[in-house]
Amino acid sequence: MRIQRAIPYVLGAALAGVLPLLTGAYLEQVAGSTMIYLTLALSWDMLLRSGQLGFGTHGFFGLGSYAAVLLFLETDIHPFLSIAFGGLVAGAVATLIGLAVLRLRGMYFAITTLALASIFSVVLRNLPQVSGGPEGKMLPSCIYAGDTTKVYWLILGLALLTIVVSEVFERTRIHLALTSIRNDERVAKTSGVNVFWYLVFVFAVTSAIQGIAGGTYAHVFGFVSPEGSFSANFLLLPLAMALLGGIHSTWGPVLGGLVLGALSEYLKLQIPYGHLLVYGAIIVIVTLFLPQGIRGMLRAAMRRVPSARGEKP
Amino acid sequence: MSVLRTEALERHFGGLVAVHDLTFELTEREILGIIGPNGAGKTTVINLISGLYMPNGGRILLDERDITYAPPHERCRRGIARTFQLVHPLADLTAQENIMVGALFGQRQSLRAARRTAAEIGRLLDLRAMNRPVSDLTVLEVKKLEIGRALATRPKVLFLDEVMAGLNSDETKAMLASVRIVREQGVSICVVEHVMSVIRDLTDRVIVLDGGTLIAQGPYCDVSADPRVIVAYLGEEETC
Repeated sequence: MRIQRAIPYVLGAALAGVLPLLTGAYLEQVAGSTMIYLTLALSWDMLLRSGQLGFGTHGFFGLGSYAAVLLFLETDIHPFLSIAFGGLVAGAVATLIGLAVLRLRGMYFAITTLALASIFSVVLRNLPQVSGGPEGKMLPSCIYAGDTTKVYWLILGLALLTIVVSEVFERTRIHLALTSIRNDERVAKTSGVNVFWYLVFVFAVTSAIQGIAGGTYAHVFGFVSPEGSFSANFLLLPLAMALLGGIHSTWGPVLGGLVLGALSEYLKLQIPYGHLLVYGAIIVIVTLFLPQGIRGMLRAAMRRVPSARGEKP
Repeated sequence: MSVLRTEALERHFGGLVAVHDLTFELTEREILGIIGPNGAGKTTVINLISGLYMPNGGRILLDERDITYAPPHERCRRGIARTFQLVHPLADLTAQENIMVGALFGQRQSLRAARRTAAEIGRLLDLRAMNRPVSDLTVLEVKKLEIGRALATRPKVLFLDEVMAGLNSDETKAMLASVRIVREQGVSICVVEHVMSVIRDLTDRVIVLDGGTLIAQGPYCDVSADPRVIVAYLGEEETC
């Protein structure tokens, strides 16, 4: 039974692993950047499962980028270790910030986290001795000297790791803690859930993932800069992916990430100067007509076909 | 032997005195009623004891240990559970998972043990359809579910905030049966209720609040004949 349930996952991972054998460098790059955004989408959703709308995604992404690049340039450490350091710094900073701001809820928490990216980028811009100031820093060479297949596998590993963490969140007591906090915080508290501790924990873990994604991205493209590393794209695209796929789940953001990643690349080719408009329109339409996302739509369709769940009609 | 005791409990909201100089106790396996007119401070007392509000003065003792300023999840783990006046089922979870939340975090059980606890409590309270989302449940089932989740924390003291509100007479009977089952588990129960027949049938003793102050206490039959209680709340003498 357990083995049977694992088959689709193993097949999916294997298929993703051998994809480079079937395609060229261009598709590998598209898939790689899609999976970076997908990782951010999933981590954003993981925080949302606790009911907290976080807009700090691009902030922790940029922070992780800078931490990884600066440590790598200073110490010549293995790139993987510097990427892990990026995650560590993002997670540690999130813990400290979380201890202060996770007493806020709803709009107040959202706005506070939105400010983080600006704060981080202004601070880094004004520390030229450390961070390279407005120009940022370049790496002597990109990771794997730009070998697209190896880069693809690296990012795939990151995406799979995030999926595993997300599934741990969904299948353990963490799921019931976060859902109860989201549904009714007073009930959660009076049922013994240490609400504040769980929120700090989730904020730290998801921010660390965003930091790791940032560190990876920086090593792949070989530079950091205040504008590039803290771009709002690292917030808005993941958010749109999660909304399109369906929030509060692992597979919604993954599905939305794959669909929107492919679609945005296609649009970029078709309409080089107006693709963001079409992209925006898609998000509006989805939010209006598919509030549960693709995952919600599929589930509703499954319910209408009883045999699909193995039940007798 | 008192399980729960408050000493000179005090809570103000700005200039409004919600609870004033409230001293009462709850003994083992007792069912205590809290009655009084709207705004008398009944729900505030529950919020103070369950930790959602912090008092401005006084003390709360559970088994003679001071929990006056302990955070709510801590109090739950030490044995205080409650339901809410407006039912608050956890909407994105199944009935079973709702109960599991209490066992997982109130009792710190493992997932497997919590699943077993939830099944046991479901049987105890005659809750069917444990695997359905709570949106499919009837009002009675949702109210039982609230009690089940509270019971899953294995409380010493359970506060029921108007669990009978909105139930018809058959449902009320079923609910009364559930509350008695809970008492048989060795739980002391404190009910806030406006349905006097329920208070009469269920409670060993009542305390009467008016304007945040305790104005009478004792068995319901004695209290309901007290002129101060009649003036403040009942309006006319209730037959006993």
